[in-house]
Amino acid sequence: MSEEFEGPPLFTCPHCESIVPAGDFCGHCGAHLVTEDRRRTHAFAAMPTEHVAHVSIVTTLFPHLPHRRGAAFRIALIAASAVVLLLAAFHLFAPATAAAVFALPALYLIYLYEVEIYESEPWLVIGATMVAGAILGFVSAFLFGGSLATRLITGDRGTAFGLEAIVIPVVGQLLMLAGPLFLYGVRPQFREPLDGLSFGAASALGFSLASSLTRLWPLMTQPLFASGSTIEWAVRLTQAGLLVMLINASTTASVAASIWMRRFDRRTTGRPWQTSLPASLAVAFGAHALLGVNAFFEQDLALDFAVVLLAAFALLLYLRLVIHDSLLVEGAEHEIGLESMCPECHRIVPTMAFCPACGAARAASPKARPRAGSGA
Amino acid sequence: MMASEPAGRYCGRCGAVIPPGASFCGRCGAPAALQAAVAQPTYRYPSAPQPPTTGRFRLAPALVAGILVVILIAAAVVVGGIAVAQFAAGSHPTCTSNCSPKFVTPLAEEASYRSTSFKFQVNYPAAWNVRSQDANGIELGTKLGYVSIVGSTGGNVDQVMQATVAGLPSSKFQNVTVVGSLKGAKIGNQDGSGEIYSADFVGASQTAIKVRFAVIVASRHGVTVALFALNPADAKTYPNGMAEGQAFDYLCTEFVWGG
Repeated sequence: MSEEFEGPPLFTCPHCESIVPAGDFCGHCGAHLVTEDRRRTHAFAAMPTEHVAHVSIVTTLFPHLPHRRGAAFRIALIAASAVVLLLAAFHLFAPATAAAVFALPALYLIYLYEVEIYESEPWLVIGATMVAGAILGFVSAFLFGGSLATRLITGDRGTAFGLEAIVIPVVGQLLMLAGPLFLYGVRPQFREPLDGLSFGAASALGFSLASSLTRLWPLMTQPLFASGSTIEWAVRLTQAGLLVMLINASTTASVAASIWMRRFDRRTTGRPWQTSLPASLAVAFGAHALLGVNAFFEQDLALDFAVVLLAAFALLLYLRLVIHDSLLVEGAEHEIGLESMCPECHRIVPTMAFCPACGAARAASPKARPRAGSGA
Repeated sequence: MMASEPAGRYCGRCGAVIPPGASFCGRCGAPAALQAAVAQPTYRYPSAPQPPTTGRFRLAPALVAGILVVILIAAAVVVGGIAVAQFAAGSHPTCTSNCSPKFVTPLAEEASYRSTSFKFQVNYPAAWNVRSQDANGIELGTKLGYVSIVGSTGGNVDQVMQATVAGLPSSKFQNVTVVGSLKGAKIGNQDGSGEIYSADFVGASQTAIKVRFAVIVASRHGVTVALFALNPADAKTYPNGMAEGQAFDYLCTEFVWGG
């Protein structure tokens, strides 16, 4: 195969001024050469067939998955939703709640196994992220949840507001970042922003699982076939099992990716400001504080749900922007490697930071398989 | 096997290929005139000779959904089972210590409220904060919970009790269950009717806690007074599961009817 490969002509990329093989995309900086678009927002770096501003849970939370693999995870999400809906329809609210809060974290564990982000240290990575997150989530919900509800009963609204809008959001976000920051300190070999992003998401999902279960536990201790409004439970389960998970995962993953980006890209200038560490911190803490204020003042379940839904979508889009920018930054090292199959478009291309044919970032391919490849 | 490709037409906005003869981009609708300049040779890379198979992945596609569903069913059975078992074991445990009747001591510092509509007076600890009050009654935030005393004209005691419970917002009070009757319930020196309930109080961010509340209603000379007292549930330590039960007793004892 390689012997027959004549090779593409080389030329100088007008954006990064590197000598790169011809193609629709620069293999070094990822710019879309056809439209001369350095930012190429129409081609998400982890999944070039999608726009950056495209709401998708699978391609955002699981950026290492090749797009053909995404279908299996989409089907798994649909199957999980069906299980939860079925249980809730039969008024089995306690089992439905358990299934709902386990769905995304369990799928994320499968994803971590599938793409081997943890390399040779699965127990350390999963322990420091998902397990530590779950323990901290339980402690946090146990300490603050009851205290908040008691203050709402007694009418101590000042303290309740302080807890809901400041203490719980700030402490919660810091606790979700604790595990990833530990890994950042002790394992420098995890140096790519997508590593940090995955650790942040895993920690946040573990935290959300335990805190949701703890907060909802009193409602779960009821007869097997429980009374209660199915609609109310559907809203509650969607919020706890999906939206809160997405919000926590998006904010924590964004901040973690921004932290890792500082390790990976040591330039002090030229980084997009909107995905810098100060910006991601402002988005994360700001979003949690605003949602806390909304939860405190908004008594209507439907309106509260609508606000949380919008926030989840907006934060998911912000996370995509962080992923996109992180991957474009990762093009800093210039190398034209051997021909290998692009995991996204399955064309035989020179191994570079970006596929010259489809623009997919190699850093977003699974670690389970060699990223450089040895040719087809 | 592969060849250089002549420069094609591409949308200048989104980069999609514009078919020959098309006036607008099929993806974003931009005019075809907005096509990008192709400054460098494009190149068509060959496809891999063999299509990717499932063997390239650690898990077969069907296994992803299968494993997830198995995990969820296991979680539903184990975690849901524990929750249901906890309920079946009794969510209203009887008092096991410190449960003897308390001697009701007067409060060191107290405040009072007088209803201008129904002329009754109620004394309460000065440390409690007034959440609202009007001519008919008062709402107080206690150290751990909440209490309200509201008067009305006429009305059947049982009906007022039912209306008091039915009037609780369903979004906040869930799984309301009668725990038992309060024998010898009184408001002031007037015999009445009283019941203890358990419920789940759902606060901000869907945080839930177990609560107990008492509803005591008595009627005299055409005036019906309903007392509603709420505490976080602590059924293992306190009679009726209410830590401030003694203070609520005092409130009823010191109540003074009008007229």
